[in-house]
Amino acid sequence: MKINISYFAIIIIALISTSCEKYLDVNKDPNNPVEEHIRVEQRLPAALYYTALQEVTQLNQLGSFWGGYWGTSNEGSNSYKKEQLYNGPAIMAKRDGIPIWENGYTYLNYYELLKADAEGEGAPAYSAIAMIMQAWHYLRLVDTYGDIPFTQALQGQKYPRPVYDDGSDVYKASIDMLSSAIDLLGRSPLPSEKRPAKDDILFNGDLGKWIQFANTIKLRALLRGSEVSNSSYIQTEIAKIGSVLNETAQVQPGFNATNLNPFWSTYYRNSSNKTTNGYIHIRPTQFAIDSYYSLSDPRLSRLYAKKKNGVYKGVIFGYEGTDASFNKDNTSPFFGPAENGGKSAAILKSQTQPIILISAAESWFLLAEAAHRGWIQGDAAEYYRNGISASMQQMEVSATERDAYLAHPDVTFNNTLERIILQKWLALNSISGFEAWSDYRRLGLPEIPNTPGTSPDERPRRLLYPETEVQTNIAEVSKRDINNITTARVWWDSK
Amino acid sequence: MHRLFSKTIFLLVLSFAAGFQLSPAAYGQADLSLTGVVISEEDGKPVSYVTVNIKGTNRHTLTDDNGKFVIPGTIGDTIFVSSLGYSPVLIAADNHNLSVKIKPSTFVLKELKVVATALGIKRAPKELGSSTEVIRADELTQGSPLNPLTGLTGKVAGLRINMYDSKVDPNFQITMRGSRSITGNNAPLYVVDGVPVPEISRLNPGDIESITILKGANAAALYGSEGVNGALIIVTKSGEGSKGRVSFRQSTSLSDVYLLPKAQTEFGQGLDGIYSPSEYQSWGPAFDGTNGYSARKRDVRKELFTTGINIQNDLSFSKETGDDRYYLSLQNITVKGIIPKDRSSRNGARFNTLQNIGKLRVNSAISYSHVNTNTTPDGPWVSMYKMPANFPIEEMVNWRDPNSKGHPDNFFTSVVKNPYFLIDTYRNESIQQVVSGKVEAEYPVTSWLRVMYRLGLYSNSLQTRSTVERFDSERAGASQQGSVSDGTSNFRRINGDLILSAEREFGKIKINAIAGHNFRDELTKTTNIAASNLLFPDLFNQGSRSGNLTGGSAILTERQFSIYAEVTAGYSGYLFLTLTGRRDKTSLLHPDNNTYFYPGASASFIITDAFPSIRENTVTDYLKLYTSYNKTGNVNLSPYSLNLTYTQTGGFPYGDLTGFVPSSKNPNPDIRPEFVRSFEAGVQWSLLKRRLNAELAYVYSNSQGQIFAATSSAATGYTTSMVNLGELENNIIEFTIDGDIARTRDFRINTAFSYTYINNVVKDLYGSGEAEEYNIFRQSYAIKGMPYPSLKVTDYKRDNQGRIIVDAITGLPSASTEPTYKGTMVPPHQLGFQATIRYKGISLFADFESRLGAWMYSEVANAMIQTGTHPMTTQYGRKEFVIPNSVIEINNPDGSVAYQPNTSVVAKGSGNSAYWNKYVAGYSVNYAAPGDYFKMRTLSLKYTFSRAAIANMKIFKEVTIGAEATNLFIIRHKDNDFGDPEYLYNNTAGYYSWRQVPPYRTVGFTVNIVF
Repeated sequence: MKINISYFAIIIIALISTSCEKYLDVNKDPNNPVEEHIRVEQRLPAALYYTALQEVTQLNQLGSFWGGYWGTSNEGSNSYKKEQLYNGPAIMAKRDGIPIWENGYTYLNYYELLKADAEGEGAPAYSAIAMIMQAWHYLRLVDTYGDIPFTQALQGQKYPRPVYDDGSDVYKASIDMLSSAIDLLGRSPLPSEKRPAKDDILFNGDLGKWIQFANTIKLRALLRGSEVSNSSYIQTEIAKIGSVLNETAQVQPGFNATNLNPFWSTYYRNSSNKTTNGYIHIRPTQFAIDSYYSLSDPRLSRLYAKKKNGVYKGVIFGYEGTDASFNKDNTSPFFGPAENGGKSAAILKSQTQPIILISAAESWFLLAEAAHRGWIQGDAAEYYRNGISASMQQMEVSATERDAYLAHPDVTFNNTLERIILQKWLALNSISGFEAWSDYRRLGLPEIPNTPGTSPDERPRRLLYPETEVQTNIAEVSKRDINNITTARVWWDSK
Repeated sequence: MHRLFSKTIFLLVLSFAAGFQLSPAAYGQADLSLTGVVISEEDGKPVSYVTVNIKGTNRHTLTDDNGKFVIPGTIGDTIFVSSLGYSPVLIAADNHNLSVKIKPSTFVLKELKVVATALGIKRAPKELGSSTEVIRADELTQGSPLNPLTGLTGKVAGLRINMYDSKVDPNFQITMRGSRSITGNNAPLYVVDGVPVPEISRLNPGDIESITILKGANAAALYGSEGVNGALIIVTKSGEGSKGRVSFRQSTSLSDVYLLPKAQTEFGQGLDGIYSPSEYQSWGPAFDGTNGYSARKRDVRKELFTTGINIQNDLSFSKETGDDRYYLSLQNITVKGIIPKDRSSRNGARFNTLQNIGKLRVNSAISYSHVNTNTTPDGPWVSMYKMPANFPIEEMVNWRDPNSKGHPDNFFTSVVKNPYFLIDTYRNESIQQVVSGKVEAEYPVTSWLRVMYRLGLYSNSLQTRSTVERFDSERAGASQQGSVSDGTSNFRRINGDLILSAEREFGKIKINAIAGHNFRDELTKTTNIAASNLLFPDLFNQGSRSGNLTGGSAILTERQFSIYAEVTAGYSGYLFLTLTGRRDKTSLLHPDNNTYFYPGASASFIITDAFPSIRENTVTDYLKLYTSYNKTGNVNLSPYSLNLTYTQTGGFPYGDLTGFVPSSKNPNPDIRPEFVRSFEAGVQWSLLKRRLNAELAYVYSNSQGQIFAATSSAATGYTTSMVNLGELENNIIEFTIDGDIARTRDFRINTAFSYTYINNVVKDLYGSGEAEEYNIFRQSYAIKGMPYPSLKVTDYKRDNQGRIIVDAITGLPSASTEPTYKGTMVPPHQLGFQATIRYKGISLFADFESRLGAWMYSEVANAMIQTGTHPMTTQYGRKEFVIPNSVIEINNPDGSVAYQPNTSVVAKGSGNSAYWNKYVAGYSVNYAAPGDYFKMRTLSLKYTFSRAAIANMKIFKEVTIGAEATNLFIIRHKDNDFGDPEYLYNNTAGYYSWRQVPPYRTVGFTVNIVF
């Protein structure tokens, strides 16, 4: 019996030791793909989608409030309290804050990994696209926060607490990145190179348009520095810019009846075609209504619905009372196909409309400003008119109405920056709200009224570093003792 | 089944009423009690304070000063006589006047099976080199808990159990001897009848014979890494000593919500002091009673909650025939929650057998439980926290009536929903089935060598369904999309142990040795299928939807192989040394570093056995010293954590366009096991004829290289990173004392007190010494040099005296860049106190607990300040005020800065909601408070009918009735009017969230009958 047991034990031990390695080899993920599965063409669409999503929701919303377009109905005042109160600590909070920083760097990492993959797969076009989009995000982050990590960013545990670079340096580096990407795209590709096609949900593989897009971003970035004294740098860099985009850069992943355009599903209607809270809560400011109305602007009727008594009525941004005239039913909501006999309106066209990154109108107004400042060749007045026309076309205004508008004495170009920026502001309403806020910070134009509750010169100039950053990188955050969003400014905000 | 039970109960109650009348007169009849004397075999002298128990019952008594006892019983009963220091004796009562001889225990006290240590191998407590406590069935089931963890709360030094929710199926957090893990998994290992299982909430407390709490990490050597936090070794009833016994227990209890955060009743709905019937916020004018504008008499929030009912029925059968034993139990529980329409039911069964086939001993156990729950998510009470004090809640109940004020078309606001609408339209249902069991065969190869194989199975199958009822309305914002989500989750664990155990004596030395091999195989499969846009309000099926179907599945496999050994050497029965070792090989790590070894050693010395003169010449009966050291490895990681994974989100795939994004968690293929080193030393002392027992232990533990997903700067590209960093150190003192204040034949007062002090410190976080802190969740932090976790709150800018710096013109404060440190969120001082008073058949039990020295904060208060329902918002009568203890910054001509007390500059706008939103609600310093408390957890009164009283009803052997109450009162720190400090959220101690159902108290009745 003893011998039997020993044999038994030996057999068991033998079985265990031979089968052990194989038995334990079960740690390959059966549920999700890993690095080795994923190709550049599977990375690019999702990365572009998230860039566009951040632009059309987070950034456009904040900019539309602080850039003078949006306020809220009484019903909605509680939902956007932190924006209306310029409540920096609430905006930076991990909880119910606005995570522009976290999302921005997460999306930057998508492009970082795309770039690495593109180098591995021999696909320089993808590298170039990744660089352009990284520049896009870095510029947005500087515009929002000021100094941010760049040189030590996106390197995982190599730099767990990346140091912050000066905002102006990040701007320069981003502009250089755009230049490198343009060079890379300008080279004639090898036949073996992988090139984007329908996975490029921005330009459908048209690399020429990517070059123009990069140029537009560069122009926008260089003009940001207009009010700080380094115009020689600006002029040198502007001189290098080739043609800019003369169409609207928009992202279309293939929105459908379930996955709607996020602007539509946030501010208009959900997939059951019911109006959303955003539609009930968001209202134009009276300032916006007046700005269009005073110029008999045909875009007004494409942007907003009239009230029952046949007038357009806006709200006061930051108003905190209970005056019933600012109730949702007494103010003008967005105007969409449901109110327009099923036809497209200015910014609400269909539930599957693409997301706009940069409109054609903005490109023209950027050129107009550069020409007006004498930084580029060309006729500022022509660029200005082209900008207005592009906006009219985008907002479904007929050629006749457009021409009448262009002839209005307060519209025709009078060679002032004020007029360029006013028209740019009127064209970017609810499309690129973040640009409106940036222009206001840069130029103080147009003269947007402040909230009733604050002293006149208290305006949001930037966001506080997010709570997540305070918690993980306090040394860098505390080097920049910034605790008030109405006083600290980003590098290009000098006024 | 349930109806049958109820009927039986009714009849039984009637019979008791009759039986009770007879009891006083009948009590004490000689033929219904057994009397006797216990004598020491050594010297023939009577032995006092010996426990005498009728086996298979919980009837027991103690011998008096003359060694005599009287106990209800009859001829044929088996009597179990035991006392520490003596070998216990089992005798059959063959007459009414017994004489029991007991002899002092000599070598191994294995008959004293108080301690069922690792692998079900029974050890005398004196051999153990670490602290252990035993909780027996009758202690555990005081208060009729539905879950064994409820029964353990507050009864064991060093074991902290938080029931942190009041759902029909509440959640628990269990921590043994402080935090060793930054990820918060500090729960002990559960071992049921020798098989490690992931959780025990479905175990019927009535099935439990005893729970042995092994507090040290010693258990890890034999059960694997999870034993690093100690172990609860649970032994279920076996039918031992039972001649054939049927036991029935019924308990019913009622529960009611208490400790809601305070709400103000001075101001009603509106904004800026102006009444608005469509505003849910309480920033309107003061209640003045005109047109019924006044706060309701009763707290309107309480009216949402109903009285919960728990009904518990237990039936068990047990029998011992020769060496074979059987135990069968059935359980039925029905719970009606304190939230309307929340309900749960549970049916369970267990069958344990022990059979001897020749020399082969086969032990098997199987248990099954089926749990149904049907609840609403957190919406209703989240709504109620925000409602004004004049909210006419009773008009909201029948919201389906189109004329009802509660109908979404008519509801006064579209921002916050009618709580009854949420209760009816949001439902979560689940069916959980847990099967666990084991088969164990043991064979004695020789007189000193045994071989045993044990195969254990634990399987948990969960089916869930969440539905939202579609609601269509013309009113903007009142519509609701219908949705359904069905999920299944199947988990099974197979655990196999091959164990060789040897026991040999060599002169005065006795050796016990164990060698074993273990495999563990875990498989989880989850599937989910959901539709978010259903077409018909009354049809919840994914087929009737528009838009896409969503869902997915996941399979997780985890395997482990281990070998282990334990050797105990005993010298003369008073000195013991144990060495342990275990080597694990896991599938979770990279093959290059997936094997790890961890050793342990312990020793104990029984002074009273080594020097018997102490026992004879002093009041000391028993004195033991013990110590142990263990190093334990652990892999705190889920499967497939070594690689960066990708998923399709954001609506992808759009047709044939795919789009993948990487996880925001930065993986680390080189992750290694984490190790905990622990040291323990203690003394156990019994004196005055065991009237007083005390134990003092000191514990040190140090955990290094912790595996956790650390929050990282988003600028790294990832929001979390897997790291092998961090060091936590614990210095713990545990003290327990229990004693009989009074002890006579009929009367006994026993009190027990336990105290634990935990000094927990984060020694290091990122190894290199760079980062001093990291955020765990919300305001909870790990900070170098501070306890884990610690509370840091967002705060105002203050001067060096802590005064708030305000603007000289507006009187408004501003935010401090860095949050302010408050203190630990886990109480360093934990005290438990139990008192039992027995007089004849009556016993009164009370259980108190206190935890001191920790901080908590409340998210409920945050929401209530924002909506103006918090009393804080009315302290200045909704008028502008000067912020108390505020200062104004003065710039001196020499450039220095001074702070001048502010007595006149009122904070601009401080009477209105904007101020409270921006300058109060946003600062968590305003709702943080010390979490100190003293609580009465359980009060129970029991009466066991004397044999005489029930003799008339011949069928009963034993009848006990009782009444019990839980959470009768709590004393909290004066600054804490936020809630129960025991409640926590997302495994973060000290954080009270509005998502939790507020605490309740219960009052109930129990009947226990043995046939």
